[in-house]
Amino acid sequence: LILKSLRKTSSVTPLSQFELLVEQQYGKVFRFSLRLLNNSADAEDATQEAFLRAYKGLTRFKGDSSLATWMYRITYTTCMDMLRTKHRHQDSSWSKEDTDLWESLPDRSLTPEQIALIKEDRNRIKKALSLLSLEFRTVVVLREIEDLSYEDIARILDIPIGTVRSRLARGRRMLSELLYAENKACELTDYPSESGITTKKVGTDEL
Amino acid sequence: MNCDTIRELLPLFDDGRLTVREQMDVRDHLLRCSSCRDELNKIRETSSFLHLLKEEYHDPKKVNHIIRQVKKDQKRVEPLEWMRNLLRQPVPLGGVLIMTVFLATVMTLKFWPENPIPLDKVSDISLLNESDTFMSFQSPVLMRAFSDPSGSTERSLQYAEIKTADINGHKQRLIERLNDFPITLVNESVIDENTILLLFTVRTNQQDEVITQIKNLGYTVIPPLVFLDQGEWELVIRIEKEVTE
Repeated sequence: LILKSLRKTSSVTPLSQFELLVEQQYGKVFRFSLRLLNNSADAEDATQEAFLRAYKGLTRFKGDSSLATWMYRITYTTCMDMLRTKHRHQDSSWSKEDTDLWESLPDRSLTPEQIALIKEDRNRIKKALSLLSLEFRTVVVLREIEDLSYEDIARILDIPIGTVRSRLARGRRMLSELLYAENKACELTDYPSESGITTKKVGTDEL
Repeated sequence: MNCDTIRELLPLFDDGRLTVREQMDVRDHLLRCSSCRDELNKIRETSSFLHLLKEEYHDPKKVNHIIRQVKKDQKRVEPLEWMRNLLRQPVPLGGVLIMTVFLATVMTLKFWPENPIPLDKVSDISLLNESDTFMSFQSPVLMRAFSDPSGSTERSLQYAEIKTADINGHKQRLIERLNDFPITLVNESVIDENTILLLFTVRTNQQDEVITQIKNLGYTVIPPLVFLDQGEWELVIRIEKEVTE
């Protein structure tokens, strides 16, 4: 609906329609930027820049992909530009000093103990993820966190689907190794199912 | 398939992106290999960990901030956009350029000084001899003719500057053609191997015909520059000819 109303506009996109786009896509754009840049301040800058670019280019959006995919593409190129200009490839690893915005998110029906456990595991996975090289991290984030199809990932990163497949396979394996190599003794915690984060051990009957 | 091959495929097993054959091979292998089952468990648990990062960020303040920034940037960008749009359209741009050139030409002609710059203040004056104080040459000009500044209205001094590899041929040709007029070659001065200056007199009222003849020789006559010196008008005619030798 947004797309239809936006495409009806001639040369300038009315801000009211653009506001709708920002409201709908802000969370995804910020989350994706945060995972690529590993820094909330940079992610905010990237989000703002991405929406500015989107506003300028909205009339050129042809509708070949979904609006969300198009926004991911813009966000990806914006983050890459930021990393290039600021030469942050070297220091883009996750740091504990960066505030975990998850803690400030409302509507958490968890006990303080559960929150503490989740926070700990979030830190572990964030750190492991930040150790992946950018090309693998991007594919893993788009697939695992943003729930995108191989086809959409290929479109966003402008790479063949075969490359998405191989990067995803390698990225997941490396991430798994990083996670378990860091803390072999750590037992994974089973979380309440309503939080959607329960982990299961696979048995032969689940194949 | 051995364990190494299977482990290459395990990360894609749950995505359903393996071929039917690969899917069956992995499934068969997992039924027999507990080590690879553990490996699959780790991959699935890693995936579960990643789901912890699926937080939903929604911050109305941030959204409003972005809208405000876009509005601000829009104001800043609009003039540039206007310029870009103008540049994208060749017809209006061409019109603007033509109008600019036209206006510049009109203004130049309209405001050309009625009391032109005295010759002694013209930057690139070169002298043939002490008495020829009225001579003025501008380097790209190949041939010039001046009226007599001494006050005579009957005859004027004409100077020709010929710049060519074949100086003598051009000089001879010019003099022969101008011989139809009562002209007198007064002086000639070689500037360099490619340039010679010819000084001659011609009746003022025949200047137009002389110029026509010079044009007929293939020279380009540029509209005259008028200088005032000691109360007399000097007619400066610039004549160019391309060197094609």
